Amino acid sequence: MTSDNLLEIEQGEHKRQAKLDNRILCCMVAGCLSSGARATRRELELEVARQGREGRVEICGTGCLGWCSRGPLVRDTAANAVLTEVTADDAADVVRGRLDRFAGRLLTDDHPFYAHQKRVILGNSGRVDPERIVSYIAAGGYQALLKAVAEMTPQEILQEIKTSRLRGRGGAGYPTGVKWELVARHESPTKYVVCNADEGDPGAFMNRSVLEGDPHRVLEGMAIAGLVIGASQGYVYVRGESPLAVERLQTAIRQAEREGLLGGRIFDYGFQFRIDIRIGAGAYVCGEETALIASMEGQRGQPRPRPPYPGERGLWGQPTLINNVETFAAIPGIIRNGGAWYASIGTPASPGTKVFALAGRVRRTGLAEVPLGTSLRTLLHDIGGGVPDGYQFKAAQTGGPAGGCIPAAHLDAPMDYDSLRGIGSMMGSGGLIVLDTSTCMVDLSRFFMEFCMDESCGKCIPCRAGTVQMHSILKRIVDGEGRVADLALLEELSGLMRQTSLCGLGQAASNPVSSTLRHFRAEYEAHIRDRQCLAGSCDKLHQGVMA
Amino acid sequence: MMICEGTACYVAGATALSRQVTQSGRSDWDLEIGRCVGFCGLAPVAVCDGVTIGRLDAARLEKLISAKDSSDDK
Repeated sequence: MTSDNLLEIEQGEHKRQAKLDNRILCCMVAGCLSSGARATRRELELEVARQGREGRVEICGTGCLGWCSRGPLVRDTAANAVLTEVTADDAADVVRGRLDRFAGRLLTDDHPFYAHQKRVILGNSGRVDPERIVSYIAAGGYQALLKAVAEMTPQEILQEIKTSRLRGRGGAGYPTGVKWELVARHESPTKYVVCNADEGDPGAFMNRSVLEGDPHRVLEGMAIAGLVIGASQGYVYVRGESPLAVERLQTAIRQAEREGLLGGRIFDYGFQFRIDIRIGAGAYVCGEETALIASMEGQRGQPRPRPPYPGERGLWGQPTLINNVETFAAIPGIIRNGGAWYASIGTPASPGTKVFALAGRVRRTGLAEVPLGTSLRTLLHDIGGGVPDGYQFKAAQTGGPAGGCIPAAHLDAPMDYDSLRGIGSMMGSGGLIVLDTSTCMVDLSRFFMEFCMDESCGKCIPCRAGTVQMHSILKRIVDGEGRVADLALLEELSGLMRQTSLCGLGQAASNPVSSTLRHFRAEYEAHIRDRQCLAGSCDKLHQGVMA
Repeated sequence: MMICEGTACYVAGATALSRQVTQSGRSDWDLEIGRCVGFCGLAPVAVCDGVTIGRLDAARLEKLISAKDSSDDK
């Protein structure tokens, strides 16, 4: 592959697409597939043949179109609109372009769901077929890698990343440029790039959707990282529970290798970079970087003390760069458009966009990408359409089992790393679950603690014993057997676990408890003092009415 | 039959659904509790014989239980 070849492929595909009357792209990501997207796509293909429109109308797959609860979703390129709940019965109308039949099911870019979004990471959704590398190249794919290999020195690339002020999208928000620089600085002939795709938070499905919907973007970001730090081998550590993500990644890697965009002599320069997949077995703790490394080395997935950080001693003892899927996915755009462009999106301290997984009691559930700093209100009300009739908003839960709850009083809080931490929650990987007044916050804490108790690897005592202790206290409060001293005990244990646990799992396991104690203390007190559940969901207690 | 009890499904009332399966008296059903199958946009979700079912509610679950019943009777 040379730069001329890349241009040829891009222009060839543009020419081919220009000859078409219409491209109809079906969302082929897990949510829509489970709503029957395969049958819809098959029928659309048959319908094109029936109407004799082969060569004029193209049916192909694409990445996540966002509004998962209204799937199967289909993008009509000619009409520049997304159609919702498209079944096999609609196929004839879609192919004929009879969009007047889709009253109430037609979304244009000015629909509130899309109007408030800024789709960068998901920019190819609705344009690119994840199973065809040519489609990705036509959308400007691999041009960032070409630019990085042919025109830039590793230092210049690093400078762009630093200028972008991109922060790690795995949750902690560590500056990506600084991390890359630390690994790049180590003198070692062997280094590794690892993509952490062990998305384990219940309620989060952004990474999987990105891998399923636009795998080449992640591969391209990883290759650029390899160039900067001086690595020739990358791994994607992906959950076995996401078989489709694994399959799409495999296809993408194979295609990229065949085109000479991965492997030896990329773009006929001296740079070589291979990517292989490692499949995780679903332990939550393996999302922690040192446990992830242990798992990749074939050992039991348990964390080890840091330092040394993986950037210094990682996989097989070599300097290893570990970033989240979304972090790598942001890289090609930064190289292509410049770090300053990226830094101009979002807030100064948290630049760029973030994909959130909207779920729970909200009208429009699915994936939404917004500039960081967008208010929770915009996300929930404008994009999410608010809480459905008959329900009342209580809180938004972010950050999964390591995060916290944001009550209605903080609805105008900007969604960025530091503001969320300030109100006792965290960004996490981007799961956002809306709770209504029928959710009991004490039981929710118990639910998350049960999760952490089950997922604790057992290596360090504060986490292994602490989660069990906290769960048993929460359980007895929910069962109406709480004691007055329990709240102080919970707080004491929270602090102890936070300070003394070995890894993030134990350190953060008490966050949901601390956060609900901070914002919803009255519920705990009602459970203990009055044996009453204000949300009316704990069936062993009196059912109260929310004040 | 796997009922997802990940956060989104839990909030949407999955616990009551798994209770419904337990109380249905179907000893031939193997009930498993899942921890987020990743279809949070369609919560509550169940996976029945490998097929993902989204937006499950008590009525649809009851139908599934009785549909299974009749096919087993044959």
